[in-house]
Amino acid sequence: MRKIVLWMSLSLDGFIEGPNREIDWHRVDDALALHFNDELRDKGAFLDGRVTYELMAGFWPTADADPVASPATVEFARIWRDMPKIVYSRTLRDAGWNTTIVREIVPEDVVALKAAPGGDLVLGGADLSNAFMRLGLVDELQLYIHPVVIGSGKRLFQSPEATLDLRLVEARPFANGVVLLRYQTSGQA
Amino acid sequence: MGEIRVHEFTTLDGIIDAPTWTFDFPFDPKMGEAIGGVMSGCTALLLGRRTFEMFAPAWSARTAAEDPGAPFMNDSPKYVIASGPPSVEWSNSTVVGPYDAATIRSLKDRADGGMYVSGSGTLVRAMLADGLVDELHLFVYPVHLGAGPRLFDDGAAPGTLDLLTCEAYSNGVVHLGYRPR
Repeated sequence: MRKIVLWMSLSLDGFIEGPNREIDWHRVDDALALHFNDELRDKGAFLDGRVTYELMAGFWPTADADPVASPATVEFARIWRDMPKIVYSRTLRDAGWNTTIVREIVPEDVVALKAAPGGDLVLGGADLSNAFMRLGLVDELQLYIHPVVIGSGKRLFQSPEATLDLRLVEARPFANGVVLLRYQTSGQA
Repeated sequence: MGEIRVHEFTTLDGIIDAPTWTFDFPFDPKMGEAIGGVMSGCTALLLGRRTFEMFAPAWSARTAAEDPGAPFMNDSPKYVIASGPPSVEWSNSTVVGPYDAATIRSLKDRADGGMYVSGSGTLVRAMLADGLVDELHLFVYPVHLGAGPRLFDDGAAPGTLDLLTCEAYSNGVVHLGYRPR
């Protein structure tokens, strides 16, 4: 059974984005970008909500056309284009780049997706992540804590009723001050 | 001139209320060493009133044999930020008065070593906003609560920190040490 990995960057004060969806406080240098590629290259699919998907789709398809793009950016553009993607949206009409649109989160369908062969499934986006957490569909949290306080925005953990039992499996510092904290949830479906 | 070193037990989502959730996790001696490392070089404590009132009865009764931190906590000079007298007494304590950045700065200037702060959420939030914290040591428990008093509440002053320490313990706690810029 492949895992659903909630993948998120957080500010030290617990926000995943600023009040206007800002993520310009992310501290991603070449070493971290290469690490992201190493982690994501062999995953099975990216699962996102519409907003995150549209942000990604607005940038990554042509990110490697920029002559000053770093090698890590060039590689991730290819990873993103080729990766099977699922976007959960009631309104999105069509999507390219190997993307499937799904209208509702149906737990049985998610379990079937996990049972299919392939790499682990990477879950992103605040609202989608919280919906998956409430349904007990998250197996692992892979959190990147950036050494920055932003003061306001949207928090990852929004509901006291959706708390998970967590087991630390990795704590890894990067030279630029970002820390990776990886937790398994106990209730792996 | 002393540095202010803050030590907090926090949940993964940044909640620092009276941390009863730490009781669910065994204490790793390595974590005790790390907390000792935060205390070492400190010659005084700086505490908010509520934390002082919680600490005083708990620590007063503890001996060095029971907890290696007890002599430091009981014997060191303690400065309490409070607008009135606390409800309990504790050896070597001085009530400084209500929070005032200039007062804290002068305490730092006169100190012959570091000043150790634990808990004291209201005080720490104010000192972070005023740039008075030199080291912030978070012991992050593998727990999220979703709601409760946070170390960084909404509206905390934006800023960048340098990572000093990242160490994981067998109980699932991670020590993240930072120096605010």
